[in-house]
This record gives sequence, structure tokens and C-alpha cells, in this order.
Amino acid sequence: MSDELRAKLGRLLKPREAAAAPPPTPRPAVSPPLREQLQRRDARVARQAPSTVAIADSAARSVGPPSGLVACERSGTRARITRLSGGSAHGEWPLASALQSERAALAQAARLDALRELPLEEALYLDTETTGLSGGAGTYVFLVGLARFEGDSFEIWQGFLDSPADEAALLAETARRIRAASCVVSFFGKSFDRHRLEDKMRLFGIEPPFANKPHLDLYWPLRRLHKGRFADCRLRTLERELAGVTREDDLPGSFAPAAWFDYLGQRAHRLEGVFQHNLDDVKSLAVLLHALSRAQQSAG
Amino acid sequence: MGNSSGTGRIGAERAPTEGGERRARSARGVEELVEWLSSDPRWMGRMERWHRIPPRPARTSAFPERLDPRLVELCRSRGIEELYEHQARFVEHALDGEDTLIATPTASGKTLCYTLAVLQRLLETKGSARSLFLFPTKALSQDQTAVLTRAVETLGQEWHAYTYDGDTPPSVRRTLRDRGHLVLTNPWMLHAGILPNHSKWSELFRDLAYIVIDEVHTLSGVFGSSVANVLRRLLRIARHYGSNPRFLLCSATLADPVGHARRLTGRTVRVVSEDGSPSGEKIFGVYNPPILNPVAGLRANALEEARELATTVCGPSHQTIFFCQRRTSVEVLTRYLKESAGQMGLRPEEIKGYRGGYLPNLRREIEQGLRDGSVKVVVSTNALELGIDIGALDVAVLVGYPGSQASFWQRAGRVGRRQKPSLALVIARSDPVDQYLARHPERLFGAAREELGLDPDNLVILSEQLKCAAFELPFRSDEQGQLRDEPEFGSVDAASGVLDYLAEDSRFLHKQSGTWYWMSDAYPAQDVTLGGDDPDNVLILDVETKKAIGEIDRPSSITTVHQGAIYQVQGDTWKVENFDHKNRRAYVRHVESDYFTEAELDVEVRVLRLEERLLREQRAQDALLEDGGEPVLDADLQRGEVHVTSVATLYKKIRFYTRENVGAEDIHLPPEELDSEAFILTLSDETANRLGLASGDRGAAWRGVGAVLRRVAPLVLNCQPKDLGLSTQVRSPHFQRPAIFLYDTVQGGVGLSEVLFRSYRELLRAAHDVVAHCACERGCPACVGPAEEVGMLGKETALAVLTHFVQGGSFAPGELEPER
Ligand SMILES: [Zn+2]
Repeated sequence: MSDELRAKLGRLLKPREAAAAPPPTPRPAVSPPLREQLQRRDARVARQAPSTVAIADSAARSVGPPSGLVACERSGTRARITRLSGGSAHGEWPLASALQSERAALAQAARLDALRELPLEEALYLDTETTGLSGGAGTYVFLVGLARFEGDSFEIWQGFLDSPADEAALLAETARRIRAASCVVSFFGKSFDRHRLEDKMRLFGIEPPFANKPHLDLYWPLRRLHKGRFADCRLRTLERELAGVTREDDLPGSFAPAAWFDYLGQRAHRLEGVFQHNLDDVKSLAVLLHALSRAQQSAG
Repeated sequence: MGNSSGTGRIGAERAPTEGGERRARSARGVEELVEWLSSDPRWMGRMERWHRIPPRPARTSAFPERLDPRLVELCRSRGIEELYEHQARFVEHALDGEDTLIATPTASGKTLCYTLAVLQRLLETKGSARSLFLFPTKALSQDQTAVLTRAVETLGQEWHAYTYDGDTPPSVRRTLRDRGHLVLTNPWMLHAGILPNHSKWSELFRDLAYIVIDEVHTLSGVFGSSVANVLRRLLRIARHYGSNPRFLLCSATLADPVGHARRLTGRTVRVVSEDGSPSGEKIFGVYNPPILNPVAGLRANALEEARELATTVCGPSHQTIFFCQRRTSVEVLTRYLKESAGQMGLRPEEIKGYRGGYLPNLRREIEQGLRDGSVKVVVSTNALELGIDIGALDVAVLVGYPGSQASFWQRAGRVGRRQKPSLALVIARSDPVDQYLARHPERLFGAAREELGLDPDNLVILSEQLKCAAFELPFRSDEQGQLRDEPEFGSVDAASGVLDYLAEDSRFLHKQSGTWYWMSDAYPAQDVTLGGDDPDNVLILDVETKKAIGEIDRPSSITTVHQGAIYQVQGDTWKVENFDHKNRRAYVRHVESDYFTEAELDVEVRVLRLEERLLREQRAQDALLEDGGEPVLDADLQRGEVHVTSVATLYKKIRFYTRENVGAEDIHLPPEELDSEAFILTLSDETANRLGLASGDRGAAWRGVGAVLRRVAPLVLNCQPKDLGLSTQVRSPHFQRPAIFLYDTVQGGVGLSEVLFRSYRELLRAAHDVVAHCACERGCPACVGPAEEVGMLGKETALAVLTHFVQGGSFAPGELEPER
């Protein structure tokens, strides 16, 4: 960029950016329905509602790549793999309690008949971290948490987008793993994570793996079964109330985009907190699966 | 399908029920009206000019041979046995795979042109080719969806045409994305809904054959320049999915169709502009209201005149349309006409108002009433100017020139049936352009003259749009840092620089290994607007109700909502108690004020860089030297980049009606800054002295010259006077001589000054003509401004200056002066 152009751009754009600084009251910018739609969509993503929790020390910044990343031999995708014993507790329940869930109860709660016949031990627990809530082609899925039971252990694969150039590889590997599973378990993922992944996969010409794949989204049946009992139906609330999970030093999801941008910009970043947050989310899926089974059984 | 212009409606309803007036008038047709207006003593003196365009037979052409027989059959089933020549030619070019533009008047059957091309392509590809349509209004896209759906049904195909706009329910959107062969939308939805989510629309983009854009003459200024960039984004995404769509464009008649289409689409288009459709005789009349005050040159109010004229030109046996400039005028005139319906032999329910803001159902009902002839009189804003199907009417009355030739023709084009004569009347206002056209109506009927200002490379618009584009797909660079494999944005010199700026300075992007990635959690299309509705508008809030009562653009805010200003809405007065300039909020309280306020603005223009110059020299008049002396500068015209600083200095309180000045106070607000482009005129000191500019009224007369130039600019440039800023300097610090600056009020400029520079001859001649022929004695609002503003010798001096510019010899390209 020539100095002349930079100076000119500075002159032309600076006043605009400065003027745009105070938050304008909501007004129809492009077309009111679209704005409303976006706001509604944001509101629906209940689990990611802005949090006022103070950022604790464990969410401190670090420099350089996240630790423990290994490259997948097949795809080159970088991921952190965590193996936990099925017996290890998450809140008041062992992770493996998920496998004790009543399939008929789950099928009934989720109104998903396919669940009756599925091998539950081949289910895949899905949760992603993205750079934005509104979707669209410019939103990156930069961390994909996928977990499944392997014999006695619970294996969490956290595929990480080390560079925006590697998106296609991460998405292809994600699609492959989902395709191999018997079903997908998520929290609000049917409305959010799935669409972010599908949009991006189509952009890269990767066949999305979700069609005909049973998808148990815990959010809807849990909300129905516990309607009115709790202040809200966010993941944080339900995991605490239904499984006794309490998180210390959790980095709210709204900090995730900045963490990744800081990393790419080679600045000190909070990615460690994002990995931990994502890991905890995935573990909660396992214990909440069993909570859903219990709730349905007691509801009859 | 649009070849029907409907005949036999007049007189279809013979209901002489309302007694004598209705009976007497039912025999009166357009010919009789014209006869009456040109002979009755009450009207004949006000009818300044008549112009007749003789009836014209159709020039038709057989269906192109390669047109699918099923489409020929479809046309025949609609009563279309042959195409007009222009339709056939358009279809040929489109089927040849060329980007094609049709620029013909309203009601010449443009819709059929693109419909045939699009359907042919669908037939050829057995339903895989898709097309995207852009219309300027929702109503138009809904109308066209219905038309296309009927055509597809007649063809017995399973294809789908859908409207995609803000009203489309989310449940339908999915089907539409996956199965919509013909998607009809508008530029805003394309910009903020479709392109940022292109992967959801991958089916559409993979097989995109045509991009159809209707009314492309409306795409100018900031809006058009933004849309041109949205189209760059669209082509870029189509390329990503492997398609290379062609453009099919429709427009009113344009001055420079190839140039406009190239700036808009980046492509060289084939133009079809000879209209082969038939028409009855068209009669035009220019009505000039009587002069009420000869000294001030004031004419009777155009809306009042329209009321009076209505009693003559409305009647039960024909349909009349009135076009007003403002919504409130529509209401006022409609009410008056309903009250005097009996005088015109009409029932009140046969008279309707029509404008934006009415509910869709009501609008559909009125449109239907116009088509079936049950509505006899409609009073409308420009809402009925754009393509809505209301059939052809008989008499149009334009209350004021609509500001552009294209609008004039679209309004006048609402009347005219094939077999019968039609009448269009323009009521001229006390306005330089209206009065100029009243004297030169031939200008309206000749070739299109106004150029459209369009600059897709405006740096502000470009950078906003590059944000959106980078969100959609990353940009790659080559070894030299220039864009790689980007035919659309790659052709813009500044593009890679802007991307670097967005990465390094504003941090919206992240550059890594030669690629620019979007790197923000924002959704840029939501914050980037396409047209004038700037996000930093000032909100006007009522301190009592805490509600917003209005909005105003930031540059105007310093002179209209400064502390102490009286802000007026529809006759109500509000006093500004506090203007929070920083947060763009003005707090007002409702008051009964007997005065209004007028703020004074100091505008300082600084020249940053000059780009082009035309100049004129003359030999010094020195009788002692035989060779007449050295040639010296007489006058010049330039264009270039300028920095404009506007400061509101003080405001005056002026009593309503008497215009008595009842006080003045200072305004304390920060200046408004603008970086833009200007068209500049200067005169040498010697010439200025000789023409009398050196006398006491020098500044005022020079300012008067500038004011006229600004007001007549819409004759050569499709714009409104408010799109141009004016600054006059009797001694420019930059040029050291008198200078007038006409600058683009958009940050960065959208090409207006360049058009003015190119069209300077016409601009100067029109300004000269206006001042030379104005009926006033010492200046008035229809020329240089009233004598109180320009001084007693203002008009005379301004005329001398303009005469010198027009008659003082020709201008030739000259070298730019060295920097001072
Ligand atoms: Zn005058």
C-alpha cells in the first residue's frame, strides 16, 4: 500500500470509524426484518448469552500455540486429544452414566424413534466454538469438540484451526468423524453448530454428514421436561441443576472469538480457557444425556 | 407478459347517473381537452408550449428461429403474434450469451424480453439453469413473480419462481434456496441476506445463468455505486461455485447506456434502444402559472394550479393521474379533488390517492381499479413511477418537473394507449430548472441528456464493500501484493491497498501467507448500508415522550438541530433544547413558535489535488503594443480533490410571514469535515474587475452565479441540488483569484464533479439562459436568489459573468498550475 493511499484512506475512513464509536440505538440498517431475524437468532442462542462472570486466573493469557496439539496422520488436522476414564465424575455423575441411559426414554423425549435401535456407545458428542453467532460465510468454526466412548474411556478430540487456510481439512475430518458415528448428541447444536458446520462444508464442496444422521439435541427435550423450574435453560444452569456440575474459572463463550484472533495475530491469547470451556461443554453433554433419560422416565 | 396495453376501457362504463355534469363531460376526450386548454382564455395564456409526437405504428419482427416453439406458443396464448423489433433483437443477443441492456420507454414490453430469454435457457437445460432478478421495490418483484409463475404453469413445468425479501417467511426460505429456479429479490436482500450466506444458496450459484436487473437507471449516486460493488461480490461468488452468469438489464432511456452499464457491471453490454412498440399520438403541454409578483418574479403555487386545472382535465370518460413531489401534497390534492368531485362529473370514490406508506392491500385495490377503469383520478408520488402495472391512462399532470428526464418520461409514460391520443402536462414551478424547461421543452423530448453519476471505486464505498466481500470469501494476492484471480475487484487499482488498510489499520482482516481473511465477530453487511441512509444520522428525540420524531443526516444537523433551533415537522414547531453532537442526538420540546431559525454556514474548501483543467486566455488589451501583448488567463474550469470544512457560525430568528429578523445567536459546534471531489470555476482578477465583480456586491453576485449553476446541474447530471455543495470565494487562497466550487457531498465523491466538468458547456449555457430570461427584475428564487441576498446589482452582474463564460471564446485543455 502506498503511503499516499494510506493517508487518503485514513482521512476518508477515520472520521467515519470515530463517529461510529458511540453505540447507536437500534435502527433499521438494511431491512428491519433481517435485523430482527438476527436479533432473534442471537437471543435463541441461549447458552451463549453474555455473561458477567469475572475472568479468573486460569483464563490468563498465554503465548504461542496451544499445548498438546497432535497432527492427524490422515488429514494433517491439528487436534488435542484427551482420554478420561469413563468412571471419572463430571459433577455428581460419572461420564459413563451416559451409557446407562434408557434408549426408549431418550427416543420418547427427543421424539426420535431411530434412537431405540442405536448403539448408544457409538454416539458422538458435539460442541463447537465459532467466531460469531450470526453465521454467514465469514464465521469460522475454529474448535470442534467431538467425544465418544472407547471401551472404558471417554475420548475427547478437539480439532483446532491453526490457520484459516486449513479450514477445509478440519471440516473434512469433522465430517468423516460424524459420518462414522451412530448418532450426534449436542446442546442447541441442531439450531447452531450444525448450521455453522454445514454452511462451511458446502462452501468447500464437502458433503455435510448430518442428513439422515439421528441428532439428539438435548436443549429442546430438557427445556420441555423442566419448563418453568429454573431461571433459564442455558447449559450452565441445567448442568448445575440436573448433574451438579459447577465450573470454576470458566471462560465465557463470548470471549472465544477474541482468543482465536489474538492467537492468529501472534498476540497473547486465552485459547487455553477456550479449550477447557469446550471440553467441559462436551463432558456435560454426556451427563445431561443420562439426566434426560431420568427425567423422561420419571415423567412417565 | 407485457404487450397488452388495454383498449376499449374508455366508455366501457356508461353510467350517466350523476346528472348533467357527468353527462356533459362523458363526451369529452383528450382531443377536446387540448382544444379547450389552447383556446379558452382562462388557460391559453398559461399554456406556454405544446408539443406533439405523432402516432407511431408498431415495428414488428418474427419470433427468432431458435426460440423454443413452446415459448412461441406461450406468447400466442397471450395474444402476442409477433415481437416488436427491439424485443426480437434483445432476445437474439441474450441467446447469443451476450450481456444485454434494453433502454426503451415505459410500456414498451421490456419484461417480455428477459422473460423469454430466461425461460428459453430453462427449457434448453431441462430446468437446471437458474436466474436471479433484482428489482428496486418489493411490489415490483411480487408482480413479476406472479407473471413468471403463470408463464411456468402454462409451459407445464415444475419450475419455481419466488420472491425473496424481508417478508419471506423463514419456513419458505429453505425451499426457495434449494428449488427456486427464478429468485426475485432486491439489492438490499442480495447484499445483506444472500451473499453473506452464499453457501446456503450454493444450488443457485452453481447454475446461475442470468442476472436480470430492472430499472437500472435508478442505480446511480451512492446507492448505484454500492450496488455496482454488490454485483462485483455476486460475480465473485458465482465464480467460486463455477458459474459465469450474463446480465440482462432494463432501463429507461439513458444518455450513455454503455458507459453506465460498464460502471455498474464491469462488462461491455450490447444495447438495444430503438423502440418498436406502437403508440397513439402523444400531446405534451407546459403550463406556466401566472406571475403574482413581477418584482420578485414569483409565480402562483404549482399545487394550487393543479387544483384549478383538475376541474378541467378530470372527467368520467378518461383516466387522469397527478404526480406530486411530496407525500403531503398527495394528501392535500386528493382531499380537494374528492371535495370537488361533483364539479368534474365524478363520484368521490372514483378519486384515489396513492403513495408509499399505504398498506399493500389498499395499493393493490387501487392498482386494480386503475386497470379496470373504475378509478378515474389518481394522485400519486413517484410510487407509481416505477413499473407497477396499472394499464395505460389518458391524462398525466406533473406538478413540477420531477428532477430528471428519466422520471419525466416514466411519469409521462403512464399515459398513452395504442389507438388514442394522450396528454401529459407539466406545471412549472418557480425553480430554475422548471422555468428553463418551460422555455426549452424540446429538451425534454430530445435524446436523453443527463448522465448518471456512478463511481464504484469511491474509496469509502469500496472499503465498506470489500469488508463484506472478504467476509464472503478470502482474497489472495500475487507476489507483487496485487489481487490474484479476482477479475471483479482486481481491476480496481486501490483494492489491494484497501485490504491492507483493513488488515493493518482497522483490523477487520488478517493477512497470512498472502491471503486476506475476514477476522472479526461482526457481520459486516448488517452495518454497511447501500444508500443515503448513513448510519451516523442524528436522531431527534422528544424530551417529553422520549420518542424519536425524526432523523437528519449529520452534515445538515449543525444548521438544523443546533441548540436553539426551531425544528419543523408538518407545520408543528419544536425547539432544540440540547444537541449532543458527539452521540448524535438532538433533544427537542414541542413549542408554539412564531419564528423559525436560519443558520449561517461558513464553508471552507481547500484544494488537495487537481486532476484536469480547461482554460481560456486572452491577450491583454493594450493599445500601445501592436501585437496586443502577452496572452493572460481569462477563466478556467478544473476538477480535483478537495477538503471541505463547514462551520455553523450563528443563527437568526425570523418571524413567520413577515420574515422580520428578531434576533441572532452564536452556534458553538465542531466543524463538519468532508473529503470529496469538486468542479471548480475561476476568473482572472482582471476579468472579474471588468465585469463589475469588484464593486461592493462582488461576493454576493459571484455567489449568485454559483447558486444558479448548482440549481441547474440536474439538467446535465442525474442528481438533486442537495447532492452538490457550493462554496464561492472572491479571492481563493489557493488560486489567488475568484473561484466557485461545486463539490460532491458524499465522502470520497461518486463521480458528480467529473460529469459536471465534461458537461460544462451545457451547464453554463443553461445557467446563462435561466438568468437572462427570468421574469424577475433583480433576482428571485428561480434564478440567482432574491435581491436581499445577491444585492441590487446582483442579477445584472451575475448575468454579465455568465455571459462572459458562455460567449467569451472556447476553453482548451491546459496544464495544471504548479502547487503554491
Ligand atoms: Zn429571477
